[in-house]
Amino acid sequence: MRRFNYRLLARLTGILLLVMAAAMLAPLAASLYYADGALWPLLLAAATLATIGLLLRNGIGRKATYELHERESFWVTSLVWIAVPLGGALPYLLSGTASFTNAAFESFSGFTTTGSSIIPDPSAIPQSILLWRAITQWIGGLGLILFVVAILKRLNRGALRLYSAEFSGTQQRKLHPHISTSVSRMWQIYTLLTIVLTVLLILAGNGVLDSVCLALSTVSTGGFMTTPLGMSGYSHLTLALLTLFMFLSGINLALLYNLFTFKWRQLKASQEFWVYAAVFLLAAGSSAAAFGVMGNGWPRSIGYSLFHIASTISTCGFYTTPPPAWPFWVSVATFLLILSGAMAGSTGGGIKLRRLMTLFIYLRNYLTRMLHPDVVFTVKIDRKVVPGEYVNKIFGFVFLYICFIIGGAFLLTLCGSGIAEAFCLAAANISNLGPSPLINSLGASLDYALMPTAAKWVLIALMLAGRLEIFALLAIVSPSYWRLRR
Amino acid sequence: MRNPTEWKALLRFLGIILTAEGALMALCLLPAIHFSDGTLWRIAASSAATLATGCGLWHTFRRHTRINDRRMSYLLVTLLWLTLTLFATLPFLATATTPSFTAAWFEAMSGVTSCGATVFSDVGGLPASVLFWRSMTQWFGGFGVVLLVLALTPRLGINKYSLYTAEASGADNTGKTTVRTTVTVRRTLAVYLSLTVIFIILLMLSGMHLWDAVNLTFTNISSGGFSPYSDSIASLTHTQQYLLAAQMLLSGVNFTLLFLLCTFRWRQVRHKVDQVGFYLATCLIASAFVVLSVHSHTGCGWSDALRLGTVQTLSALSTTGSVIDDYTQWWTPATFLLLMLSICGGMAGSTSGGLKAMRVLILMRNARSILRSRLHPNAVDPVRLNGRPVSGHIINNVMVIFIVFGATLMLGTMALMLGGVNATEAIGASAGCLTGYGPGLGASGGFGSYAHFSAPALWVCSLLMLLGRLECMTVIILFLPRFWRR
Amino acid sequence: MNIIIAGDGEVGVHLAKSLTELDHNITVVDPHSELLKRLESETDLLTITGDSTSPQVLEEAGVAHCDLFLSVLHHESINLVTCILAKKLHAKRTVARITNAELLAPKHREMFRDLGVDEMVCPERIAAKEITNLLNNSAATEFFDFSGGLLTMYVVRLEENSPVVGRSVPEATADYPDLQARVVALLRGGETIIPHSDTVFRAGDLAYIIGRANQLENINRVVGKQAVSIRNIMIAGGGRIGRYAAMTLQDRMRITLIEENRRRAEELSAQLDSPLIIHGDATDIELLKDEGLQNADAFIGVTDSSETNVLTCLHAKRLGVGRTIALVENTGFIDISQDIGIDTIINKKLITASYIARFIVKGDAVSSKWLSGTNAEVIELIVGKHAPATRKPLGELAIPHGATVGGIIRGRETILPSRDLQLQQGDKVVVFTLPKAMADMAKLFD
Repeated sequence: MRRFNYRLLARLTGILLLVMAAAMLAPLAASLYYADGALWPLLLAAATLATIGLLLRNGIGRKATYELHERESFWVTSLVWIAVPLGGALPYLLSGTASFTNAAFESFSGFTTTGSSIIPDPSAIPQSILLWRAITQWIGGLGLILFVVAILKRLNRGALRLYSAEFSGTQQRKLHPHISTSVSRMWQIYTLLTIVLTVLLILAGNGVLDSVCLALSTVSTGGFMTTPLGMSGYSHLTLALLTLFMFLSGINLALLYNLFTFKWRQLKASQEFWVYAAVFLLAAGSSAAAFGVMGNGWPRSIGYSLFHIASTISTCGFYTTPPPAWPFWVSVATFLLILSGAMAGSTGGGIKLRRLMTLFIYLRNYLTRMLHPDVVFTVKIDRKVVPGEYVNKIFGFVFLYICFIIGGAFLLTLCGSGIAEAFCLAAANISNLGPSPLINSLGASLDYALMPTAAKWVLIALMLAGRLEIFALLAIVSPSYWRLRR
Repeated sequence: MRNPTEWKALLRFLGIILTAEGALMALCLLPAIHFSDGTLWRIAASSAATLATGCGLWHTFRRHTRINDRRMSYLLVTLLWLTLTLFATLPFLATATTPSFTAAWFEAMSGVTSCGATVFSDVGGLPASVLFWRSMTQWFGGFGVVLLVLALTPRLGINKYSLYTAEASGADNTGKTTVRTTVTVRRTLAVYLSLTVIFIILLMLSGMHLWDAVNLTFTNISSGGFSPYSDSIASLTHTQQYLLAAQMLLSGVNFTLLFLLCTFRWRQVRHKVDQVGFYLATCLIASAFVVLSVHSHTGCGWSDALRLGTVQTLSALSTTGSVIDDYTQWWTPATFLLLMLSICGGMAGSTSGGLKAMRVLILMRNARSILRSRLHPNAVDPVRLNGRPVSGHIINNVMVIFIVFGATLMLGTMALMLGGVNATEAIGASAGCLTGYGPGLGASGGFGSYAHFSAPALWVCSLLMLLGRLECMTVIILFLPRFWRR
Repeated sequence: MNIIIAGDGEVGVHLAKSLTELDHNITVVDPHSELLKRLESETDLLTITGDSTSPQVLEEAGVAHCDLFLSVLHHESINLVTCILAKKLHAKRTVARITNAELLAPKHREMFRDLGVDEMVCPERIAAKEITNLLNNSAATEFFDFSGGLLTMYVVRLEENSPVVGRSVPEATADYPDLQARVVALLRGGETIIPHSDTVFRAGDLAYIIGRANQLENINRVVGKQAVSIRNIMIAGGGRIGRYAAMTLQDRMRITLIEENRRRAEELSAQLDSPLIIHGDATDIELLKDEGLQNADAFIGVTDSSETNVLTCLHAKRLGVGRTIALVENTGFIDISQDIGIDTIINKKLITASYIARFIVKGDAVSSKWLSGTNAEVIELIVGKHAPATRKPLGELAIPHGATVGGIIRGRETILPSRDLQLQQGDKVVVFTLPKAMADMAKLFD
């Protein structure tokens, strides 16, 4: 029995820290250009990260092998997801933007693409830090391990395990027999979307830095915003663009790739996509009707509903000033969408529609079986059979998801939240949505900065659990994990 | 479904049940005479009307005994409960104690489903006969009227086990101890009756008046929770409160198990040892937490904290709903925990509501097993209950019930909010009605009542009670289009 | 014609016997010498013992001079290989029996033609098609389209209340002048009657009627039957026939399919979308009732056991199911099954044989069909350039005994035969004929 492969952990973390140091060049440049005074903290952070990264990669991790046990892959994945965001917190800390807990909260919220922020007025902090915030989301959007997998071509079983540990599975077909090719295709489409949105936003008359930040936040479904008032200050064209791209970000990346390579049939055959589109339109339509009936003016009702529902279903988390009268139905729709999330394999969070579809079909079968006890059933999605054990895993996942929400809400009440508020906070953060007008409508404050320190760490744990789809995180606390020797 | 003889048989069944209900209603004449509260004729009229309808139906359709269609038996169970509720409203309406039919329906439903939520803000002002009727409905409702009828009429011609499962759907391996369902039911009834008598005597020995002893035993052994006093059980002596707590504890235990224990068949107990262990462990751990929080946050002494904490915990876990102290004023996490306990519920095959210990146990073990299978993909690790592997089919069915239960809870909360109830109270009311706990959070929790709820909200609550009592599926299946097809 | 049949299973034997009757030279190839011995002693043909995938055996059977090579063994892959080999050994035309209907897709067909398999026959698929046709035309017991549906042959049973019972054929024709159909044969007590002017209709006769495609309602009126609209059907048996039938019918009808084998049931539920797949024994009548047999409009028994099929159909009939169709493998059972009240009997062998027979009648026959219950055949012939039939009007032609002309298709037009009709080259003639008259009929129109 060999020991835990800590070298690989060190190597992966090292690489990611180096990547972050490199990524920090962008905020550095911005800082030089805007002369916002964050130059030195950023330089220091970049240097620190680079040094630690180099040490980890070439020191401990020099002789790393990609030999991994199934169990270790969860461990490595989870630890990478803890170590890297901690490193990413340095710029906030060094620039004096936030205290340690706050900086960690902001960084974790960024990397998990949640978008909950402890910065009450983003326009008051240096632009370069804003850019860094957006970049963390973009890196986290597709997943840190996926990032590494895309960089390294030297892959084997171990990497495959890491990949599956991070993407704990919705039974998706890979885009290409080679995992690295599949992954790099996903990155291509991801980057392409980002660039297109940036250009469009600039053309729509927004500032360059603003456009870049928004594009990074939108495509990764992160949802950090650059003004204290959310998106209310932006033009209608900008909001329309963001709505479109939020909707696109909720689509499975593999499917998007097919879309861009004009393989329409794949899109047509995907039941999940049609469910996604139908749910989106239904929710947006009913919300618009609810707003309109309450006398908010139809154009505004429709525009706001589309934006709000796109933001919620893709778990992006942008918000703008709602129309004055808030119909209760919108809260209901919002809460349901927070739980459901978008398509499996997208950058969004939540339980994912594919899983819910499976559950729904199983439920229908169950009811039919009550009438016909001898009936034989299979669960089929996209005309393919979902095997029974897989259905069981989905059930398990949903059960754990609900347990995490309940457990998280319980811990939040320990920290002083009300019960309803605690549920909403837990749900919004585990599904990586972040801020939502729903929480406001309950009378709670969106200002995470005012929350007690303990509550922040609870939320951090929830964000991570949601991002890693629970299993990876739970695996490391499972007692059977520790029985390495057997 | 189109077969008229089956419908006639169904009507005959309704007749039998109504006759039984009418007879029990006639018992309310005793307190009416004894306390001469002026309701004698009104109660007599209600009872006569019920008896007349019941006997009429029974006599008219006496020749139609068989129900062969499985769908009819599902329909029958739901209709039985609805009819029972409908006629149970008569005493309230006849004495004009409720302001509206909606309120009467709510109170009756809360009674027959042994829920315990009440629309009377001042119970003390009610006539004795009505108070007794409330207790009576809970007593026979808690046991399960369908079972009661089965036990009393030996030759019904219907497939009894299908009814038995229709009422307790999904609880696959809980019920039968003997080959014949009738025998099982009779044993259960014997246990129920003897427990009732024993506790009435014990309560009287502790110095309670017969009237109170009967009322409180009827409502607590059935895990109902109505009380003849506005402050529920708060003003009783400590011994009496502990005696009631014992009733609650027992009301959450499987009746078959109690029967085995009473007849000293220790061997067979091991088939249920896991559930018992889980139930008792939950009691202990939850009580400990609640007692601690009561001690530290309300400033009462250890002995008081112990009494308040344990009694309220047992009341929640067995979904009885008797209130010893205004728990909504306790520390939020303690209130939260009580809410979760009521959702968890007692053992399957008891009078308590909620998800039931066995299901929660299977859910947890399954989650653990899935986790393990991710760590050791090749391990064969079936979920075990009482040392025996549980088939995947049963696990998935439990999962379905869990998901449906959760979804109903959530949708119920939202429907209540649409009906104008605030968020926290809606969560409490939804859980309280669905699980059969009764009191919720906020103004409807603690010693409060549902008097201030709007009519639509009361209807939603009534529906939730019915869903909870029939474990959702039996009612939901009526909404399946296939159910009504030829 | 020189015909080689590989395989002496039931289909092979049936084909061999009926083709011998039609005066063809039949050679049967099979590895089982005992079965072959029996066949040879009963029928006038040549048998060769050996594996049909061996070129040597094929050559021995005279594959080089063979006009038609039929491979009807049980295994699809052997049939395909046999056909490929036979083609390479200069057989003129090859036909393989297959079990997987997927191969029949146009793109695959082309590929198999290139390989040397000219035609493929999937008995299960044909049987399933038969079932769907029957359900679409629910009053007829059998049903067959010619020339893409321009002419249709209906097989209907005359009910007691039919107005034509007790009347002769010319009287009946005079009663319904607007009826665009013609009775070509009657089946009475196992005997096929070609109606003359003095033939009288009796209740219980099975009438073979050829007419325009839209005549079903009129015919129903005449024979005293009401068409039932079919909504709920129950299929017992999830073999290939049941599966194919369910696949085609699932969009229009509510199907309950009962299958005994759990694994097969699971496969079915994976393949089919809307049908309700019940795992259970079709002979368990309680189960069938539980699943709503009494509410079904049609019951189809296609399990592997003919006895089960017949008995369950009878039970369904007793419970008031309008249409019952049973798969009966034993040809000896067919008559009696129909006598005791089952509406339609499906027999894979007859169906396959009639389907294959289309390759036998030389080039001109477009499609043909053997009818269950009678040995008669309905074929579609094209009138040749110098055919004897073009010289005289129809009434004066020497139509052989045991055959009759049912209808003529000229271009897109359908003509019902009359005495003074002059046939032209290129006309398609639908002919009802007993085997003995087949050759003469073919000569008349060639």
